[in-house]
Amino acid sequence: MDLSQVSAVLGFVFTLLIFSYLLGDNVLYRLSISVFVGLAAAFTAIVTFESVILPLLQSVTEYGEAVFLLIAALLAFMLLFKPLRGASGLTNLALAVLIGVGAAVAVFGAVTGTLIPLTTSTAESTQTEGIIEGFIIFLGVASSLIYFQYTARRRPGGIATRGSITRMIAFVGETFVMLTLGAVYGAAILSSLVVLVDRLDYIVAFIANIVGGG
Amino acid sequence: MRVRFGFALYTAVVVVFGILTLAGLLVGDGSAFGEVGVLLAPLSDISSRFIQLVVVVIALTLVIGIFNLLSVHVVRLVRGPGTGARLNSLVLLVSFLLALVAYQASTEYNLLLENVQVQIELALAALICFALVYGAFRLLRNRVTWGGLVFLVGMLIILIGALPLSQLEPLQQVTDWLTRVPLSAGARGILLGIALATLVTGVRVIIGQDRTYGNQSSVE
Repeated sequence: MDLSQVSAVLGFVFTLLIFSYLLGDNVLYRLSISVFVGLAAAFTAIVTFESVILPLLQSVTEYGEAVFLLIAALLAFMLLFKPLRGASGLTNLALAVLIGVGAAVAVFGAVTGTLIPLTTSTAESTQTEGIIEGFIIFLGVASSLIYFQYTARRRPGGIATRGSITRMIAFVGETFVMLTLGAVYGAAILSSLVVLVDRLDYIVAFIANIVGGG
Repeated sequence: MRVRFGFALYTAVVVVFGILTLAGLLVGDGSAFGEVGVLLAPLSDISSRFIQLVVVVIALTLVIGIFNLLSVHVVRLVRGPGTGARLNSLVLLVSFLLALVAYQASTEYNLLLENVQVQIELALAALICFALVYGAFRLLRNRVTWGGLVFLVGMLIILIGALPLSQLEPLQQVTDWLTRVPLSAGARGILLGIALATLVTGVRVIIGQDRTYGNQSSVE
């Protein structure tokens, strides 16, 4: 049995083990999931070490780089103190660094990656798509944003309600948002259906190969 | 108002790191600021150093997490509640070690990655189809709402539009228009909503208004 045959058998067996879940949760499925988790952990460790830690270790030729690596290791080490009640402050300090930098990157990414490009393209949609289409796109975007607005005025009875105009626009926004989410759901069904057909084709081809003596 | 020293320190760290990183990202190489740009350029180096630091810390915590996973399964293998649990842990540990050995043997072609890991991932992705179709069926069985109806229409537009039938060509033109205009508008609205929420939350964190660290959720 050569390497390609071993590969084909492995692929066939593990596909069947995962598909056995359709009959209900069983020991074969759980075993293949254990294999999956073990392999995923190993490959994650390999990729992390090779693409982040190893290059950094190789670049430690100066004093500054060594200090940088030490600070990073110290911050990672500080995160381990979370379960200890007396020393959880160290974890919070390390988390503060991560949250501060993470929030700044998220803000910058949201503004330059989404807000500016999408606002610009929406504003230009009357030119690129036509007047009516552009208006519909503007209406969809504006009403969707109002749909996500949850501020409301509290009535004398204590019940918080939105104004009638806001509710009406939010209803239009809900229509656009649900239509889009439905389309995304449909696209997800299509994608998984393509993968399912590919897997069934793989199983049939493997069996045909065995029966045909290939 | 009583402010504990610890919280003040965490907030100060978040504010300093956040503002310096954001300023460095906004300034870039400083060329947009003319003569002042030369003075602002070091901010970019500082922010890239901070981001690199966070990436390394996350990588190290990932490795620590994997060690934790292995230690949990070693303990379960020794003192597991039953044979099934012990067997699962054993399989996980053996596959972890095998993957490391296989990678050491050949870094270019990895049998376990190509023929086990990828195959399992594909099979799991195929299983999602059943869950999604069942979810759509449950949606029809539950209470009918306007949102649910529109959701169903959106899903059907995409599914019917994907059918490769020549008789459905006029319908496919409608599907194309719906995808290009209303669906695109809804997607832009959702993405802009996410971006605005990210912006507001991020700014609140950077200015110290939102404290998601140190067991104190908001300013007292």
